[in-house]
Amino acid sequence: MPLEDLRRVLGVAVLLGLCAGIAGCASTGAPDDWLPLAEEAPTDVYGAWITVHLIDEGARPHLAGEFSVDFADSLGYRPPLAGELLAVDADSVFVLVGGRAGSCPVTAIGKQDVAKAQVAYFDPEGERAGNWIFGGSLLSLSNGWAAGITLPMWWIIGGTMASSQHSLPLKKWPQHPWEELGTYARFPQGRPPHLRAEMLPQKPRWYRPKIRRANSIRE
Amino acid sequence: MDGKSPWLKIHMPDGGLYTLSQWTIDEERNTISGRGSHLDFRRVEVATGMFTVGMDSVSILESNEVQTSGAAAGLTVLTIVSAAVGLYCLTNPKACFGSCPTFYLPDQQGEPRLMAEGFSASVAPRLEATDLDALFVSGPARGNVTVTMTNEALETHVVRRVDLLAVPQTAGKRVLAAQDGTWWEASHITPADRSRGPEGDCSALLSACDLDERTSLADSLYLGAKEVVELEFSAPPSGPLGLIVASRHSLLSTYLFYQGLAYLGEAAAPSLARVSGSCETDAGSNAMGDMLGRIEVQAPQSDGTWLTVGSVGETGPLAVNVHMLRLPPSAVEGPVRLRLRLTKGNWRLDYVALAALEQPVEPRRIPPVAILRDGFDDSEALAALTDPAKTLVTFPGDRYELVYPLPEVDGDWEIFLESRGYYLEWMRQEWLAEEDPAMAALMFKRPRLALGYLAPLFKELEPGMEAHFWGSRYAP
Repeated sequence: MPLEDLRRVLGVAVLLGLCAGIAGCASTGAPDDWLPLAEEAPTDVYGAWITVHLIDEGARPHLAGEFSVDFADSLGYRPPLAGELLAVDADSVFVLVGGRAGSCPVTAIGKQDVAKAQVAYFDPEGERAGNWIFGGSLLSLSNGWAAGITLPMWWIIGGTMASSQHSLPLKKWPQHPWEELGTYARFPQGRPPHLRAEMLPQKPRWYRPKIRRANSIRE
Repeated sequence: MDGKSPWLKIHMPDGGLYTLSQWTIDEERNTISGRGSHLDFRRVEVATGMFTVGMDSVSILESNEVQTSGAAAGLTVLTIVSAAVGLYCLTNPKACFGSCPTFYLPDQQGEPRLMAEGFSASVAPRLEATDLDALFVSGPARGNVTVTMTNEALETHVVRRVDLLAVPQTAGKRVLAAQDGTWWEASHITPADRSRGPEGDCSALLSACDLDERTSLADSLYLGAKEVVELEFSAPPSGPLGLIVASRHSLLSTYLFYQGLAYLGEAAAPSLARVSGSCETDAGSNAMGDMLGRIEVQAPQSDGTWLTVGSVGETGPLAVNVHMLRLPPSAVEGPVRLRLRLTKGNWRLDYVALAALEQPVEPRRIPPVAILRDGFDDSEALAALTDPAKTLVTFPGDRYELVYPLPEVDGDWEIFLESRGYYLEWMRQEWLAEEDPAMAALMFKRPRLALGYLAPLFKELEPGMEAHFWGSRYAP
């Protein structure tokens, strides 16, 4: 293959790989170690992590465990509402906003106020895919002239796989209906009758579901 | 449910959760057993060990299987037994879909349309009844007619028969079944020139059977309050006349029925069983329905007063029922003025017209010759619906296609659906929280007082009831 052609192929491959990786690697938004691993999910007794962007971010109430509205305004940034998805009912989404900060009040968000939302229900372990691509890329350097083909293959295929791996545990509204997102809530049957504005303990820092991978990085 | 997963989560109505391993289902006892943990809604562990949970007390069963695919390590799979229904019912239990058997046929444009609901008031075996529904807006009936029968609610339907009653149609004429059991060939069907309710002119809404309905809101202080719709036919057809009224209930009666069951709580089943078993129905058991009443048809008297000459209307909020009331000769002299007197917020009026009744006719009974379930012949279902000693029992989500052969005639057939049976409402866990024997007694023994007491409670729910009701439908 002439050098000029090889360079062109390599350039396109790098571009495609980077595009696939950047476009596809959506973040779960959850704090580190908050989400269960895929194999832990069957016994996880908490809800998925939800991130909610409101239509009018200025209209939302001050929430425990967050920046104050004034402080957020002074930074020019208002982080989205995020926390454990408790339940979805006909007109509201119930979220335990925060992460692991003791008990928090249940926050009800009107569906009509939501611009977009994303639910993440297990940890896609994106770093493993990244390590895999990195290792494969290093290995391909030993391929000599064939590295011109194998290296971009690693980036294209690896990038695409990493992208799909990242998006596996994600469900987004409005692409998916609220009813579907609600199945990943702590209460998929809907809001229990007594669950209103009371304080609920957040997922404890020490909590791990009962199934664990033998070589889990969290062991 | 996915039985391959060793883990099962059982979500309870109060938010509690059982996580079981090595679980088994006992179909005979309708229970699930397994070893694991019971956690409350805060996810505090309440107990560990062996548990046996009754299926009827469960909101959702969830099993997850981790799968390995070429591109990904795992995917969580939720199996939901009653998610959609539970979600809506928890937020508004009295607006949950209740239907009795629903019947679908193609309309005049060939689109499937809900044409009838069977024996809506038959909520116990002893109340088994026959229901006749005019398929007034179905497409031309000839050859084989297929009627789709569904169970779309949390109910058990016990269906004894579903027959077509058919009369050959003469060009330009219709066949109407009168309230007194007679059948008539009718012509010159004429909508009212002027229809006026408390809200003003509603002539356009009542001029066609098109689901563009005239509705009103219930009274804020007393749910039994009445209203009047005035009708004027300036050039009525000559001869004996019948008044056609196409209507269906709003959700007021559904709310009152479910609220009654909720107040009865644990006593609901024995109460319905008492209705089933006793020779004398409790005199108060339908008092609420009597207070709400049917749609009274009134004609003016020479002294200026109005006399009720009959009534029309049928239980059920789903399908529009087309009824015909034969009018007495005194009511049809010259320009015809009539009034409909009805409970505010209890009815949806779709169509009102006068028809000239030309001659009595006799319908021909046509039983089904085939029944399909999921596209395959179901001979047991056919045997059940054609043997008077047997019944077809259906459960939520069941769907049957009933095939009727219409004999060859010149032109089309006017068809009616006659169904007979009863249904059993499934008691819902959320209702038990409202058990209140005093209120139950008030509803059944002092319905007038109850209709006042319940007015503000109903008015609070009234705006969103339709959306909740249709949203909680078990099957599309």
